[in-house]
This record gives sequence, C-alpha cells and structure tokens, in this order.
Amino acid sequence: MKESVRETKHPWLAGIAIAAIAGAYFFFLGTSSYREPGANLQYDITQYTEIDDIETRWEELDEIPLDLDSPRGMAVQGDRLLVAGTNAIAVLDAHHNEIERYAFEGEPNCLAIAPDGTMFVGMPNEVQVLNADGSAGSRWTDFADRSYLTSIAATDKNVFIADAGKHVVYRYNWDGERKVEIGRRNDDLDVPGIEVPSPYLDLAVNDEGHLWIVNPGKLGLERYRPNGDIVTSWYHPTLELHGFSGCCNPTQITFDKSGNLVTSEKGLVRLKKYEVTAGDFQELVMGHKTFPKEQSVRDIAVDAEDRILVLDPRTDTIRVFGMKESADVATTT
Amino acid sequence: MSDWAKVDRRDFMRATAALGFAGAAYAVSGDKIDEEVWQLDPNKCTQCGRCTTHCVLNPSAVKCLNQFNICGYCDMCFGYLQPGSRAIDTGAENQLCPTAAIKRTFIEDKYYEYIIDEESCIGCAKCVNACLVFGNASFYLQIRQDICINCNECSIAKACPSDAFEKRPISDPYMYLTGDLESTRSTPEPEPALPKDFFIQQ
Amino acid sequence: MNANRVITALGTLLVPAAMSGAAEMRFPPPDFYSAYTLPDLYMPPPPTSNGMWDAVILFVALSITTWMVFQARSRRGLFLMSIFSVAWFGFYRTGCICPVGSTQNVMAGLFLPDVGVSVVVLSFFVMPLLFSLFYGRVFCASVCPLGAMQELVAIAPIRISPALERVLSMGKYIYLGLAALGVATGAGFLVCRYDPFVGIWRMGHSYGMLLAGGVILLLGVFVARPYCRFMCPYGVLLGWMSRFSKYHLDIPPSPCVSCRLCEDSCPYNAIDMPTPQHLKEDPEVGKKRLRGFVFASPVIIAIGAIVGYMMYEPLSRMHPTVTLSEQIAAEDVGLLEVNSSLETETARGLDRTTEQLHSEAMAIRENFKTGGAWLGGFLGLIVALKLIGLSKVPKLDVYTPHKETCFSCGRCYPYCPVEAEPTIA
Repeated sequence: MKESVRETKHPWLAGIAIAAIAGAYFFFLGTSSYREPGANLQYDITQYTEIDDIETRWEELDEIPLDLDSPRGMAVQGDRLLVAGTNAIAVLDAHHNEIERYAFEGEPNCLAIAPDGTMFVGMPNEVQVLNADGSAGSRWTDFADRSYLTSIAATDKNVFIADAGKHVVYRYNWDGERKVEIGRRNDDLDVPGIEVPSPYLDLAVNDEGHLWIVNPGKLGLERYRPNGDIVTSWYHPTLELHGFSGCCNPTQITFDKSGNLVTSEKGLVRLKKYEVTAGDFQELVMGHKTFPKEQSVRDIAVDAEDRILVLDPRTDTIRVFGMKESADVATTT
Repeated sequence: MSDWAKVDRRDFMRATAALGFAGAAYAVSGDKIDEEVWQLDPNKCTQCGRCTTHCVLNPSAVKCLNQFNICGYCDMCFGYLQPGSRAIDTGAENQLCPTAAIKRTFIEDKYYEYIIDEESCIGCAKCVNACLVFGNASFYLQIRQDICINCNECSIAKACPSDAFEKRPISDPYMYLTGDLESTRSTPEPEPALPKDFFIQQ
Repeated sequence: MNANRVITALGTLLVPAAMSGAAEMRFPPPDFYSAYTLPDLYMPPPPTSNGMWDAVILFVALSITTWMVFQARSRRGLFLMSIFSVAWFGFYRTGCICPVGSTQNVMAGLFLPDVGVSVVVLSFFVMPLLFSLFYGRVFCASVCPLGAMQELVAIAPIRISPALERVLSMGKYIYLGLAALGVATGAGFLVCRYDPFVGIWRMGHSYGMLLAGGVILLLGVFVARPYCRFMCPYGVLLGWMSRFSKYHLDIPPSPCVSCRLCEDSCPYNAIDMPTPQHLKEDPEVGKKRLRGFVFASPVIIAIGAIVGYMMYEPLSRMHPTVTLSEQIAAEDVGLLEVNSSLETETARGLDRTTEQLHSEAMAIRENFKTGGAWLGGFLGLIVALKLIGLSKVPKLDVYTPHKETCFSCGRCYPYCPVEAEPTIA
C-alpha cells in the first residue's frame, strides 16, 4: 500500500481552505458549550411564593440578639421572655434586656413555663424541671432511645410532651408520672394517629385549656381531651395560601392574646393566623420572602403585647413582628 | 574509538532519563496511589439541572436515589407530585418527574414507598429540590459508578456552579447523607430498639 | 426567560439549610404496622481493576507495534494496528485514561502537594515514553487512538513547507505550557477539556466539541495528523525521548542507495534529505552563528519570561474562580445584569461572600504572574533551542527519518526498493 504526498497545484487556494478549516476548528472549540437545563428541568413553585408579595398588616419591629449557643425554645410569662439554649435559659425583660440566667445540662429542643413559674426544658429524650427560682428540680428520663421531644406545654395540673420520635404526645402529672399517651392510632376511638415524617411535632394549650396537637403528616390540627379522646380535627393539605404544604406542616403553633392560632411552616416558611376551632384561615402575617434562606424557624411565641416572636435559626436571633400602626388603627376603629 | 564514545554518551543519557522517570514516578505516587472516581457531594448540590445536560453521556451518569431510611413515606410526597396537582395519585399529569421515573407503591394506610427507576432517571434534581424544600431530603443525586466512564476531567464537575464534585477513592465511591446505612435500618417490630445515634446530624 | 431566572433564584434560595451550615436533623422512617422492610439501597460499585488490564493491553499493543516497525517492517500491519487502537482504546474504552491526558495527572502530582497519581495512570504516562526512549515514537505510530484515527483519515495529504511546519509546531509547546499552567494553578485539565476526539469516542458531547472533532478529521484528510504535529502536548515529550532513542526506524534496512523514491512518501516533513553540496558551508561560519545564538538564548528566555509575566491577567481568566469574580464585579458595578449567569447566581447564594471570592481570585491571579513567567521562559527556551538547531546544517549523505518528528508510521517502507516486500503486505 503506497500512499503519497501530493503537490498542490494551487498552494494559495489550498492554504486559504486549510486556514478556514483550522479557523472553524478553533471557533467550534472556543464556543463549545452544553445546552443549559430548560424550564421543564427546574422545580417551579413561583405561583405559590408570589402570593407572599401581598401587603400584610404586619411588619418587622425588632431583632433581639441572643447570647446563647443554638437557642431552640422560647416561652413567655407575663412581661418576661425565656429562651433556652445549650446549658442555659436566658430571661429577658420587656425591653429585651437579659435580667437573669438559669443553668441546666444539655442541648434543649423546647421550653415551657407553667403559670407558677416552673420551667420544663425538653431535651431529645429527657425533661429537666427547673423551679421558679431557677434551681434544679427533678429530671424525667423515662423516654425511649428513639424518643425525640420537640414540644412541651404545662398547665397547672398537667404537662404535655410531644415526642416526634415515637409519634405520640404524653400527658405527665407534675410529679413526673406518665399518665396518658395521646395520638396513637386507635381505630375504635377514631384516633387517626399522628404522622411525623420529619422531626417537627408541636402542641399548644390555649386559654380555654384545650389541647391542640399538630398532625404534621396530615397537614392539620387535632384537638384532644387530656384522657386521649379526640374532640375535633381539621386538615388543609394544599399549597395555596390558606393551607399547609409539604410532608409535615405546620411545624410550630402558638396562640395569640385573642385566642387565634398562629402557625409557622417549613419549606415555604410563612407565618399565618387561623381561627382554631374550625381552622378558618384569617391572614398572612409574614411570607416566605421574610425568611429567604430558612428551611424552617425554631420556635414561635406571642408576647404580652400580642407581638409575634420568631426564633430564627439562620441568625440565631429572635425576630419580632407587630401590627403596623396604620393597620392597628384600622382594626381598633 | 569515537563510535564507542558516542554510544556510551547516548546510553548514559537514556539511563539518566529512565532514572528520571523512575524518580518522578516515585515522587508523584506518594501515599495516594489508589485509583479515584468522581462523585458529587449532595450537601453542596444546588439542583441547577446541569447534571442532566452537561454529562458526556446521554442520559447522564448522575441519577437520583431515595435513601429509604430517611424517607418519610409521605402520602403527599412533594418529590413525587407536581405542585398544585389536584389529586394525590399516580396520574401522569400529577407527577413532578419529567420522565416519570419515580414509582409509587402503597404500603399501608397513609404510607407509600417511592423507588426511582434508574433507567428513566435523567438526574435533573427536580424531585431533589422539592424534597429538600418540603420534605426530609431523602432524594439526592449521586454519580452511578457502573454508568460513569470516569473522564479525566468530568465535564459536569467543570460546569457545576457550586463546586460539588470531587474525586474519591474507588473503594469508597459514594457520599451518603448518613454515613452508616445499616445502623438506621428500621425493622418491622412494633418497638424497634435502635442505636442511640439514630438521629443523624448532617 | 425572566420567569426562568426567578425560578432558579428561588430554587437556590429555598435550598440551603444544608448549605448555610445549619444542622438539619435527619429523621427515621415511620413504624410500619404491616410487615414491611426497607428495601436495600443498592449502589453499584465502579467496575474494578479495568485499569490494570488497560495498562497490560497498552503494553502488548506497544510491543506489537514495535515488532511491526522493526521486524515485520509492515505498513499494512501498522495500518491494521491503527484500526485496532481506534476501536479498542478509542471507541470501546472511550479514550480515558489516555497517555496524552495522563500528562496532566502526572504534572498535578508534581506540582500539587495533596494530589497523588495512581499506578495505572502513571504506567500509562511512562510506558510510551520508555518505548520512545528505546524504539522511537512507536506509540504515535498506531497505539495512540488519536494518532491512529488521524493516520486512518489522512488519505490525500498535501505537502507543507518545512518553514511553516516549524512555525506551526510551536503550537504543541504552547499547549504543553498552558496545560502545565492550568494544572499548577488549579484551573483544570485543559488538554482533556479541549480534546476534539473525546466526543467522537463517546459519540456524545456538546455540539461545539463534536463539530470540532469532525472539522479536525476533515482537516486531517489533507493535512496529515494536524493534532499530533501542531498541538499534541504529549508528543513534545515523546519527541524528546525519541530524539535520544537507542533504536529507530530506518527507511532502508541496508545501505541507502539515495534513489529519492521515499521523498514523496512522508506527509510529516520527517525525512531528512541528504545535504545538498552547495549548502555545505565552512564550519567556522556555522560555529560563529551557533555561538551567537547560544549567547542570545538567555536574552530570548528572559524576554519570554517578562512577556509571560505581563500576560498574567488574560492568562488568569482560564481559572473559573477568576472569571466568576470578574463577572460578579461587573454585575456589582452595573456592567452586567445581576445574576447574569447560573454561576454568579449560585455564587451569591453560597456562604462565601463576594469579598472572599474576590480575594481568592486575586490570590490566584498572583500565582499566574509566576506561572506566566515560567510559561514564557519555557517558550523562550524552546525558541532558542530551535534557533540553535536551525543554525546547524546537518551533514547527511542518505535519507534519514528525523528521530524527533518521525511517527514511525511506516509510510516510507513500501517506497524503498532496497528491502524485499514484507511478508504480510
């Protein structure tokens, strides 16, 4: 097989042609790029985040810095605001100045304060009781390895403890004895069972003494009697503003001074208000744009002046939301 | 005589060069002489979708997986459902996945299993994004090592806007969100005794 | 378009509890009432130990090619071997890892303290060089899939003037230098990124790369082996080795009769002709010129280094961090729309502040000053060496393959009447 080199008859023509081909080569190399992923490969929930643009009656008033390691739980008693972080509870006065600090051991998930001032600090699987003066009280440790306590509420007789790990709420008496397990699935009593796909399970007791427990998997709330009987329930599984979305919402609940339910959600983080008995949506307090980077907030509370306090995990601060002055006037007239 | 000298010099240079190679080889190999493969860190992933479009393979070697031991088995799975879908069922119009690669199976009341069909998955991370926003982040992307041809310079790695790609030893080629898969495996017993480190800090 | 942007922006915003450093709790699956067990998460392992086999096959292919070049002296055998290499190393093994690319891995091992080189990669790098040191560029002849592919398509090669050949062949030194700079500064593996053949082996890539691959093959029909002659960075190293090879392909197996038949066989300008009588000059003139060039070389190298140093800014743009920082700066002063690309958009969502990014980019740019000077100095050295080489008029009596540029492809074999027809051909 003989292959020979050719002499070109038109060297200039050949030169230009070759230069053109070589130019094309470098052009293609230089401009080589992949197709960018189009809209159908992008997750799109704009239509649900855009509604957050609507004007609300609320505004951010203040941001309270905290001198605590990973603050996780808040409780309000009168003018005082208590925040639990690693190994310590900070007590803030009405002007958000720290006036006292109580010590305990551990990394808390939640905090409750009883009407008489006794404090209950919930760790993943332990509850520590602190007396009203801050001295250490008893420790309740009869929880399972799998337990993961996420919320506590204390009344003058009972302590309700939400265990996200075991998907159940316990009623303890003040002596630390477990009395009732609430929310376990029971077909005879029509208890649907609390579904907890992620580590969020909250409960709250309102001024009338009603125990409300979130059923995160069902995206709604259930009201129970202290003996474990279910009274009523409502669920709003939707991405629309009036409902809850995702695997497990709302993540945090509390009640305001007029007895309305305040909720916060994860995913689309937003604060909303509901009429609690029927679950009627009332208003959006703050939308997702207020919490652009948060996956969820750690805790919410309502203070003596009916402002909403939010424990923000991104900044480790408490953000205070209150009614706009103009809005306030509008409602009072 | 001069021929002899010439041969000697050339041979000497060859020997020097060969020794140089051996020396360089020794210097570079060091301790890390294992083969390496590409993998992406799910914690750094921003679900931009370039894994689908920028792989030299079509479909991409990057696939989504569902890590069952952190999956919530939700009925209303946002990784599965198109946002705003009217019904929670397997209807094609309700599915988020552009290739319908997620298979939903009823297990028991309110619990559903979600398995990703590797054949259909194109690694677009739509479900990853949704599960991260609304769920437990049990869906995430990994490079399937049986498919990846392990380019010397991975073209997705070059395009990744959050630098999530790195080289890993061939003996440990995956980056799971929880280090130990076995320790978190649930059993069907009513009161499973699980180890203390059961909740995994990411 | 704008909506898209919003969506991506939201996606990025919503994502990242994980990225903002907050410890997101992972949660267990539910307790199932029914007897359901979690499925196994089966993640297939990488195909193991293919690498060692590849190295063995590479060794065998090099040995066979060497035999073809020296014993069989068969152009047809080398041609068939090329087909095998294209099929095996190219299409079947998809071109990775190849010795050309392994150059960068080895450089990374040399330059970067925390990078190692696996035995397989190292053997891919070293084996062809060692063969080259003893037998000439047999790897290029028909083992390298890139070379083999171009050898196969070179069906109508035209002659390129030796002067043009010399100028264009500077391209491979520049490419080698840039590749080294890219590795040393962490900009990436340029040789792999701009490999025009990888899209062909994988039959899929960006359109630009596929077109580039097609175009270079088209070019290769007329200008034989354009990549090998003018671009291949590994070819530089192979050429250096081959220059000092112990054995090398000879055109005639026995004394050359200077019949001039092989003159037209080599499309690579790799056959040195016998020196014409009129060019044989007075040795004293040559020595004088040589002395001049030798003394000029430090100046040439210094000029190269200075120019390279001054080029640090454009050079530094080959590093993605520098480009990103420039884009973000341009967005911040309003030259570009904010979040004009996915890269800047994502970068703004990360923990790293733009200030940190800019200072990182500045540090990288500093490295490019040093790197640019080295690159320029290296190219200056090459130019100086070429000039010195040019100033020596070879005293040849017979047709000899140029040991550095000859690919040992065997195209000249069938032309030489001195040898008997090889048995295979």
